[in-house]
Amino acid sequence: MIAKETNAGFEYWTSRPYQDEALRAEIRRATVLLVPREDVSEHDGPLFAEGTADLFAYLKENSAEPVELATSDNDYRELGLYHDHIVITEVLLQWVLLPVVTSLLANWLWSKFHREVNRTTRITLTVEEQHEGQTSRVRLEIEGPVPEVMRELRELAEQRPSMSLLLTKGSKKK
Amino acid sequence: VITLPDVQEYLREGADTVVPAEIEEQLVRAKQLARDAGDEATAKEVWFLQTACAARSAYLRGWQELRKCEYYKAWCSLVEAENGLATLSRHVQAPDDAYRLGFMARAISALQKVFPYNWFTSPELVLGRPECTICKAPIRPRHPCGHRNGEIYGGELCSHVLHPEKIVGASLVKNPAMKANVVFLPNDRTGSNDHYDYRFLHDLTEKLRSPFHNWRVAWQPARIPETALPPSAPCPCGSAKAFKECCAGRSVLQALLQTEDRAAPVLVGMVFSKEPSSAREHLSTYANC
Repeated sequence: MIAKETNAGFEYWTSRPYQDEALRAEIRRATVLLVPREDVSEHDGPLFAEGTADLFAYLKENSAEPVELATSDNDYRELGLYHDHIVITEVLLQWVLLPVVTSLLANWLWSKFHREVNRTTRITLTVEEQHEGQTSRVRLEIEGPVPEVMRELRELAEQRPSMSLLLTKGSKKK
Repeated sequence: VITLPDVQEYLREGADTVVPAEIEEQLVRAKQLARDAGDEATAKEVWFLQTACAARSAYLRGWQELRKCEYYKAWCSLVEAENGLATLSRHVQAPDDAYRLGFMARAISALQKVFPYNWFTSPELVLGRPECTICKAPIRPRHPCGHRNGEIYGGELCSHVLHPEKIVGASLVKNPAMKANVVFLPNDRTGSNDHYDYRFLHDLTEKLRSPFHNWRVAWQPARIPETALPPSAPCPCGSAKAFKECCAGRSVLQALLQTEDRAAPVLVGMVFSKEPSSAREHLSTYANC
């Protein structure tokens, strides 16, 4: 796992130029947000990892928390990467939900890919916490075979590390 | 009249012939009847049998193409079978691999390892709004159509049709999702557009008697005796040198084929390299003396 600080949190992802005010109002209520890539060369606009609609449906069905996508349905586009890696779209969440979201992601990974355990999987989480008027964010990148990524996710769920510990934990394994 | 139990029996038997057209036709009729009766369970069972038949046909076609030395065609047929089997794997109904689905999946994986293909092209595509294959509605994440990706409805698989809008990149990968995208280079020696060396695959498949026999290749260190061939004979490694000036007395790895229908292993090839770490690397050095 690699951890680093980031500026792209809820504020950034609810003020994108491709969002109208109605959508912004909707996704500002979310505590879990699926966010696209904006850095794909040769393309202007947001792109989600393939299969994000399935993950979105799963999270909505299995979580009591408000889950949202950072684009409208009309702007929903996917980036197909036809190599054998499993790439999960980035998940932005409030720190307090770390155990719930990481457990759900581990369960979803297993339900989708338990017959393809050797495939390299990459998942990115951005965790945000507001404490005494200060906002801190940590971006976690987890990569490895399906069981290894699941183990890391479950460890995060069980240990519920603080934001500072998350940074240390990630940098140790860097 | 062919019944569903007849089809199940056909799949259990492991016949070496591709699925007869009458079976396919009967399955189409059976699915329509189940749909008309609103019988989801039977329609799903028919879908399973249809997909299993299609995977088996592709697997056996791949074998036939291997026998005819049509290697890339064989590769594509095996990939087609593999994709069909992967689709079935989440809906497995028959216990204990009764339809030999697991056997075929293992055999395809083993065969793919002895193909000399190492590199594949992998496009990066912007995909337009996907559509549901069942109701044809565009996928709107906040307003789902109600059909679940990967489930069966009325005997049809629900999947999301992806519409490529543009290519934004491409890369060379070793583990592609689209395995048919093999990289080929012109072969100056033969003038063909296929530079791969299929000798090992050819020797191996020549020695296998049936697509449904168990087999595996074991690698063992060995030394080629100096008396194995006349000293001036062409070296078997393909170097165009005389045997005595090339591989006589040299260390090699032997590939021994073990099958369920033969008591003793059969030599299928030699690798002129000391410690290759995988079968694929073995093959890449097959004739590299």
